[in-house]
Amino acid sequence: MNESVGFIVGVVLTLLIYSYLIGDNPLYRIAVHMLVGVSAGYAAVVVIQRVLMPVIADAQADPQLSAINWLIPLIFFLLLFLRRLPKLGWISNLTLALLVGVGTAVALVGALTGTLIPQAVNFTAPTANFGIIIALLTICTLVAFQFTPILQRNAAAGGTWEKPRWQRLLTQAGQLVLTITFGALFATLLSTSLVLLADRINFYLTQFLQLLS
Amino acid sequence: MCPNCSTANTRDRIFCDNCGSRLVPDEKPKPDEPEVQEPATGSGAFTLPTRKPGETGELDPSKLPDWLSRQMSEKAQQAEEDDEDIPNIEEFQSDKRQTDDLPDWLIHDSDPEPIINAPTTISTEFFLDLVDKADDLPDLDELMLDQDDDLMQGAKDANLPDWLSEANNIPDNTRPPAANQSLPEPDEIFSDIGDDSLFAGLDSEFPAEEDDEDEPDWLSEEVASDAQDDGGMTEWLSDLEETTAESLTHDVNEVDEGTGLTEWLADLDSGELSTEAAEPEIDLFNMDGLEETAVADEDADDWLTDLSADETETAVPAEPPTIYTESFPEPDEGDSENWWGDFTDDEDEEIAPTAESTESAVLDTIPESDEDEDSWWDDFADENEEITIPSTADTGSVLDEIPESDEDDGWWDDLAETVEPESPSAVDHDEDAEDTEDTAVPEWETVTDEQFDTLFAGTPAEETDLPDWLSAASEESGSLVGDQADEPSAESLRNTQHLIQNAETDWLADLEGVASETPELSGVFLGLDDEDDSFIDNLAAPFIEDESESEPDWFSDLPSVDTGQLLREAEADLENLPTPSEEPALELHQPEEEAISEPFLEDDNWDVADEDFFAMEEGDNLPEWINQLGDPSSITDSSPPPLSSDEELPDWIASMRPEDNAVPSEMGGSLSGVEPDFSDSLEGLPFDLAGGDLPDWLTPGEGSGDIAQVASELGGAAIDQNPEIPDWLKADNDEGEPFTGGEGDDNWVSMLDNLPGVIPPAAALAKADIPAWVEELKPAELDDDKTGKRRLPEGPEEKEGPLAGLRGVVAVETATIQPHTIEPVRQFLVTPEQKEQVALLQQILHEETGSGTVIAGKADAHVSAALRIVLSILLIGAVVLGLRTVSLAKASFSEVPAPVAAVNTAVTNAANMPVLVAFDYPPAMSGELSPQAETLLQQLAAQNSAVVIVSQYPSATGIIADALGSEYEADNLGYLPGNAIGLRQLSDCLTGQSACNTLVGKSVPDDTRQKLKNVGLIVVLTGNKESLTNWIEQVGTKSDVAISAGVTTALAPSASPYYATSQLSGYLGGLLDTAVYQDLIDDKTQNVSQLLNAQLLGQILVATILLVGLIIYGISGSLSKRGKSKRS
Repeated sequence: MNESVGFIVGVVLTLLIYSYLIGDNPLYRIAVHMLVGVSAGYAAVVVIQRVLMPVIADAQADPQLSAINWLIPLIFFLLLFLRRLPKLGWISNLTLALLVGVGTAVALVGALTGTLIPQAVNFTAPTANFGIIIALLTICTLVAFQFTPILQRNAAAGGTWEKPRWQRLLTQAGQLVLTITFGALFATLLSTSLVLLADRINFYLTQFLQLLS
Repeated sequence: MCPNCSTANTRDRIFCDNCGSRLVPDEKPKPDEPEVQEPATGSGAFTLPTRKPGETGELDPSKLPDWLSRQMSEKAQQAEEDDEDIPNIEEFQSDKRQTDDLPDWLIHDSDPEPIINAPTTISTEFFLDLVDKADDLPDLDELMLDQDDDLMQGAKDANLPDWLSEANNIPDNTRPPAANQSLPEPDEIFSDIGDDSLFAGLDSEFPAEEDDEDEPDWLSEEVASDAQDDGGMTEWLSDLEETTAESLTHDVNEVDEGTGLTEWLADLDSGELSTEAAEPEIDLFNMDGLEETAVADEDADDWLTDLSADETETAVPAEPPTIYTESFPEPDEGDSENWWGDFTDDEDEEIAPTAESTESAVLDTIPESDEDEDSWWDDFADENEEITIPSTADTGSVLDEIPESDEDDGWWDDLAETVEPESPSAVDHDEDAEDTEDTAVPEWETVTDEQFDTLFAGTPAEETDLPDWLSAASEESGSLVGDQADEPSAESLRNTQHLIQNAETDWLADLEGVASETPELSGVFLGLDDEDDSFIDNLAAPFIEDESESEPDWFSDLPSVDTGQLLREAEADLENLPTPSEEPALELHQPEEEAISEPFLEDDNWDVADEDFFAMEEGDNLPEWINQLGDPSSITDSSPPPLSSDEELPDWIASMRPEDNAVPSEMGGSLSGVEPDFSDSLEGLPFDLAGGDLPDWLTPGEGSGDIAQVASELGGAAIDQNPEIPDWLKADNDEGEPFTGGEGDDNWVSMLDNLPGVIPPAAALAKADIPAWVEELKPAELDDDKTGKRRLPEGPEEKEGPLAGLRGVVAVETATIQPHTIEPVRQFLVTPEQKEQVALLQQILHEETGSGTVIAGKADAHVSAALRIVLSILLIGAVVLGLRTVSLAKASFSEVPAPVAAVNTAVTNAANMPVLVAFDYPPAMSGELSPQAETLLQQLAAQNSAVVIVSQYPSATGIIADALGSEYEADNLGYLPGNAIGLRQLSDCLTGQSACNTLVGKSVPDDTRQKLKNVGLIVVLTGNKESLTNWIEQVGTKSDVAISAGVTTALAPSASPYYATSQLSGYLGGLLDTAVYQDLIDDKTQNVSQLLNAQLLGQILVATILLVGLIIYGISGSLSKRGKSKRS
């Protein structure tokens, strides 16, 4: 029964989401809102259950230790609630500053040590030509983002601004690389979407067939 | 700048802020200037500034001294403020009188013709005409209707004599006599004075005037004189002249109280009167007048009312007034008594009523006037030119005495103004009617009983209250005051009227007329009832004097008097007046063109006049000016005596004595010797205190008023002991030195020496620093070199031109010939770069405009929606078709991708080792990742690897549960918040660098912590690139644990570089790699082929739709271009 109700609700909500195919409509909005709400609620429950409740359990088990461990985090936590108070909202910036600062620092360090440096150092092309091609395509991609002409032609005489030919070629090569990349990404995304669609349809078909059977 | 201390003061300062000295010259006259006049010396002590011979016209007000003009205005204002009951002086002035003050019957609005036409000559017809007009006059009751009821009631209730009672019908009884009527002879008049039937005869006299037979002779003569213009006197005057020499020698002390006439009156008839004796009677007469005035009261009012009415009807010129009215200083407060006492004592001895002496006395007494009561000066200013007849001094003296009983000085003004137009010398025929009409207005009639009482209230009834002069007079006259107090006024009036009746003279009527216009004179006339014969003497004096010479008809001279003609005449006659006895009568009748009054003194002679005044004070027993009155010849010869002693001077005059050290005034004219005004020192003091009583020690007393003298008299010890002296004055005498205020006072000198010196304003200014650039501009020739010599300017010396001889002259040519190039101001210079930028921006703007997005219409929207529905249906159909019917995927994959193989390797390597599996994907991604998770978990479970599950997505917990199911046991760490931070901390547990008792605040079980520490592989299942990178960057960089990833198809390109760099130990990219991986490990439990077929079928469908769409778009585009080209 529960699976049947769940199946019906699931089917309805799925159809509501798919109603976006005919354009933006209230059914679609309802389904989206329900999805977001349920997701947020579910996340809140998970946080409470998985984050706060263990902390409380630790505090009850060892109050002194918990007090020491959670005093400062608790203060920062409470400071976030002051954001609703106009006159005291600035205090909550301390917590946000701490979070953003630490997060940025960690991400920056991780990006350097985990992406840029390894990608630059450890990149090894299969062949030399392939490496040059990759390098050229990378340059072409960067030049594609240069929207102003590097050289001027007949500008003093009142002529139009035109990119030099080599710049135009590099820009076009870069734009081509970007187009292929975005096309590949779109194709992979479409593939993922089709898989998800197929999975949902398969699920409903399976469930529906099971109900029928 | 203060002239005294040189202190700078602002412009608006009147007094110096430092020393208090006056900064602005005081242009206003000093009110107390008369007090500081220097003692006058010389014979002309009372020769007031008059006019030079030949000057005509009235005094120019602008020529008056400032102090005099100022006093005139101030005293007039003071009189208005002090006394509201007493009429203002302006009301008595002929030129300012208004008909508003006149009764209706006098105004005659209905009759355009005035009641009394001013005749050019007084004739009998004129009198008759006046009498006829007088019939229209209202009754006395009507006349007095507007007056005070008490006055009227008192007049009616008074014990009037019969003739007074009948006087109400005067218009019927006082018709002027006919021209041929004969006036009674003077001898008859005076002989009848002592008769008790005087008043009775007076009653019968008026009707008798209607009879031609009873007409006075003087009228007859006047008719003749009018015709002949000879100015002859009446008979009685002629007779009176004959008897003057003897009759006026009468002793005034002899009073026949039984008959009511004095002896001299009795003797008058016998020709014992003399001019010499007549004049001393003036004061007695005055006293009598005053005394009688005090007693007369209400009877006098009625009597005078009748007289005034008569006078108004007959328009007989009044008795000429005298300038003595103004000549005497106005009595003021208590000092006036002594003054008058002295004066009357002196005056009794001899009075020379010469014109010159009289007028000089008038002017000389000006400075003596009290500063607070000088309104009489206003009158004097007007009368000085007009009233110069010495013969009128008698009446004037009488008038002067009257105000002594009244403290109000405004009374004096009124009186003087009232008398003035009535003077025969001041009344012009042309103005006679007007003046009569005005002056006859009973201004004095308006005086109520209270006013009269007040007017004469000051007249002491007891000897103890009498002033000195009255006391002296009473002694001489035999206790006159007491007699008057005892005698009824009616009897006095009867005596007076009897005298008039017997005299049968018009001059008596004239006197009445004078009295009618001057209430003060009414009191004088009331004095007739007294036995004192001085009144008659006074009355007779002018006529006697006039008669003594050529017996001119002074009536005919009336027109010329007012114009000041008599002034000249009097002056001319002064030379012919050696003695009072020989004093000739003035030639009153002068041609109009010759009647030019001349001043006696120039303006410059004011100083002399002032000196004369003080010289008068030096007289032993009689002021000098009075001596001059008696001896006119001494005016120019006698030198002014020294200042009289204090015993001789009244206190108030003594108080005006200038100080010995007084600084002479810088003012010219008569005030050249006047001390500077000290009124400034009184500024700030209350007005009341300014004239307040001074303490005794400050009061001059018998002293001269000099402070130094007072100080010397008091001495230091006296000052210290005197409690009234303030301490600040005693402070200077601490050493026992007497305060002298002199030059030898060391204390003062020392104090003055100790005073700070005056700092020049320029010295107090701070010197400014001259800037260097200014110094550079300093001419070289002004600079001194080291040797102290002036440097000469450098450069060539000019040889020519106006600058020849100068050095260092700048050549003009060099400054002018130099060509100048003016560079244009390039305010809006546009560089080529700026032009290029402008062109670029314009180009971009043009291009963007051309490439604007075309918004599809509603039809296109509907088509698009339909297309989307069609596509969705196609996709759903394709997926269902791929799931259920079509199998496009291969059954087995021959080639395994390297990343897939690397995953298998990594998992294989992690056998028997804990494996951390991160479920970092939401439920929406479960369709693609969940098969990977189940495949990997099954493999890990197959190789006995403990699994520790963690997730960065809260929603992933459900997925984990579904993935694990009941088949797999795993340590679920659950949700790991903090993203990169959380992973960073987790990496610490993986490396074993920390205790890792807690992970993100959550305690980590020991076995779990141990598993984490021994993790051999990290499998990250995610569909989010960030999650993948975070794992690689935060965990993979800190630990050597291999990370394998199971990602979606979309995320596979992102994981490929990390795999290329060995940061990932393989990855499963999408459903296809999962299918390959299942095939690789030979996992048949997970059927991903259906999903893969559905995906492939869906991809084919999408690719087909894209191609179809491109074709349709291409065809439609080409068609549209062709259509446009065709239309174009």
